[in-house]
Amino acid sequence: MTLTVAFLILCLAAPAFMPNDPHYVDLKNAKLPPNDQYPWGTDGMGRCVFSRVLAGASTTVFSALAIVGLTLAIGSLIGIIGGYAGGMVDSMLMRIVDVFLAFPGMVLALAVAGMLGKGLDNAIIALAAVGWPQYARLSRSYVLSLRQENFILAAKLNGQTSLSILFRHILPNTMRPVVVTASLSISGTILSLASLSFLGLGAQPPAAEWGSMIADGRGLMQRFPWMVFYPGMAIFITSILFNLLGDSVRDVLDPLDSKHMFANLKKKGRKPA
Amino acid sequence: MNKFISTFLITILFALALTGCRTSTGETAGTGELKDFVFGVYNFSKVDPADGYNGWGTIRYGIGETLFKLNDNLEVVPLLAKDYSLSGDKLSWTINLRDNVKFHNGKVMDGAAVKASLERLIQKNERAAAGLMIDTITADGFNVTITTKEPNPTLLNSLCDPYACIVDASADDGSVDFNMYPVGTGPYMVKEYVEDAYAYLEPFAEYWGGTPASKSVTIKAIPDVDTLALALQNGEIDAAYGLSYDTLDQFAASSDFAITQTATTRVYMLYFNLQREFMQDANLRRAIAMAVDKEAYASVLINGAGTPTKAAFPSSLSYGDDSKMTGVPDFDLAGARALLLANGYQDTDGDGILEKNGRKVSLRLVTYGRTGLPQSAQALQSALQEIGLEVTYDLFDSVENILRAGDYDIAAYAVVTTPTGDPYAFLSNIAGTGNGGNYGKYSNPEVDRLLAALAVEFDTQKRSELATRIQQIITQDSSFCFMFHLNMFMATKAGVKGLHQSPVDYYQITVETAVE
Repeated sequence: MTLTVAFLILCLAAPAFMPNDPHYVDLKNAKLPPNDQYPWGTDGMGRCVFSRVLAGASTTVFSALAIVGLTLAIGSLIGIIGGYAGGMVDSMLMRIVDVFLAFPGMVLALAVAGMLGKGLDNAIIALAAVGWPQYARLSRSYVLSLRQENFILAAKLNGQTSLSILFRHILPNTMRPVVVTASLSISGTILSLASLSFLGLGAQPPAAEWGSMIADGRGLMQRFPWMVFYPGMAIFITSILFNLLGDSVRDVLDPLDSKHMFANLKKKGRKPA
Repeated sequence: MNKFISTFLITILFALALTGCRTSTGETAGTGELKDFVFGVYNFSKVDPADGYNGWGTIRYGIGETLFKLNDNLEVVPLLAKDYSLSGDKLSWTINLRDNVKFHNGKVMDGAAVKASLERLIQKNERAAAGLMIDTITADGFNVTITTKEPNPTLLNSLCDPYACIVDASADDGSVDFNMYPVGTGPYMVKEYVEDAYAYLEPFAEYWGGTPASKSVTIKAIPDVDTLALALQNGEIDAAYGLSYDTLDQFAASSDFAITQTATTRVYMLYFNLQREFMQDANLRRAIAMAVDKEAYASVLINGAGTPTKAAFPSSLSYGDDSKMTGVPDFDLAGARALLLANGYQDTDGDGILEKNGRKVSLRLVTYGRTGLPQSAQALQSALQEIGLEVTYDLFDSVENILRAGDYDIAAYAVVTTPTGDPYAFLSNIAGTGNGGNYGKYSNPEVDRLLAALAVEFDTQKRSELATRIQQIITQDSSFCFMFHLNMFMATKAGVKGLHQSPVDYYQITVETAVE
């Protein structure tokens, strides 16, 4: 958790650490191996790889967070509406979800991004369009069980409107599992976003983005490995970091998960019931 | 975990099974024996010369030949023809054919066969019909007389175009797919053709130009350039065409491989949209031209596979003489900024971007994905920002629609300037008022007059002078900027000989092609 927060701050502050302008093309200094001025070498156009990886950090990480936030919002909204309303509304919404789930995620994202055209914004929209159904499914299933709970029935008897029941009682109670899923999927989203950029559908040059940096350096990999190695490592480490974050979020928010229950109870020095 | 291990093992097994499929070629041949030759290409095509651009494949793979060919200086020389004469009214060309040429099916190539081949061509190929402008053809023994509708100074050049490969038209009777098994006159004939995979060619024993030097030639389709490089590295192919420029020095550095490079007539250029607010100013265009570091683009961005130029045509041609392009500026960033500052451009609000008449100079630079173009455009964008111009950059799959619509200021573009060894078509296309490739909307009565003269001029010397003059005019006021010419390169195993690398890029496999 601390690591991740530190990392996010680092992403925000990255421009301050850049030794060179990440977009400055200096053809005389192209393809240099790592040295004092360019700690991670230069790429095929003489741009500083270190500066570009730093510049790409905020692009990649915050875009991934935006995608996850967007999918979470859309997905859980549709899920709780469907789950609470039931009947026709529910089955219609769930059939739409089924259609989206029927396609392999990346293939659908490629199709959507291809249709919308190149660009980081479009890549974000494409991945969001693909990601929301799982949250819809998840939150719906929780709503279905919550609907029968006494406190909901009590709220109904009190004469509360559906809207207020949805947002004051149901939404907060479905949030836990949804947030856990979201935090676990951040790293996957970073990978998907980098893949789209690698294929040329995401961030457009000269913007620095890890996936497109790898694509740019691919042809030169055999002789100038640093052009691919450092952005690749950046993706790798960031994904691991967010996976660890996801794990700890689950530990905190989901103490009833059977695997972790014992661990939590042990930590607190109590015997399992 | 078990699942993981089994998946892993299956993957390994699968990979091993696939590697086992590699065919071994030419490894058992002893000394003195002829060997098989395997040529990997990224753009494998079908081979009926009359069909679209497939003639490029017919010639490249050594299956067909034309009446005339372009030598390495892009001059027309006889190939299947011996000589020619032109009538006084400049309408009738009498071509005298070699009498020892046979088609792959053993038939003699005489006047009647050439007439049938050309008639088949102009019936099937609109581009050929427009380029040749043939009215009638008559055959008499080993003579063919071609009469054109109007004087056509470039008839012989058009006869060098790959579409004009001479084939036995009578063999195209529907019994075989002529697009896979054409009957030509080249040193090799198609034995087996598998679409999008390979063509297996056998030597033609009765070839008029000598005995083919290889036991067989296999043309292998490898569209992915990285796979192509790996195939050459692991010995699966003897030579590769269409490699990425990034691999150039990788092969050059190894003694197991050889590189052949030739300057082609493909020019990397900038279109300036002369109808846009800022681009109308010749001083701004000149400053942009001064920000183009041609040397560095050619040496770094495409790995030395380019020759910087000021002219549209390469310097090996008489009408591509750089020294005659007076008034074209050299790379000089400081000079470019000074020129702008001296001509009413100022940065009054201190944001680093120059303004003209109170309006910020903001330009749109567009290009498409051909090797070297996106890199050149990004480098130019960076340089222009350094001299104080705001530049947005957009990369497209293809830019023709945007160029036609005029929704750009600068476009980086690459185009073959003399596919058949003549300057007229290209110059007319880019600079003639209202023409299809004139994306900058350039219009100059003087240039139009010179183009009209060039269209009907038969004298080679005068054609060259006219073409030079036109290029001088269009580059002097920086209406166009030519950056560099691309070198084609092929990488081969050490010991491969006779694989031709021509500036026109369509002569490859010859009678001498072989691996030692």
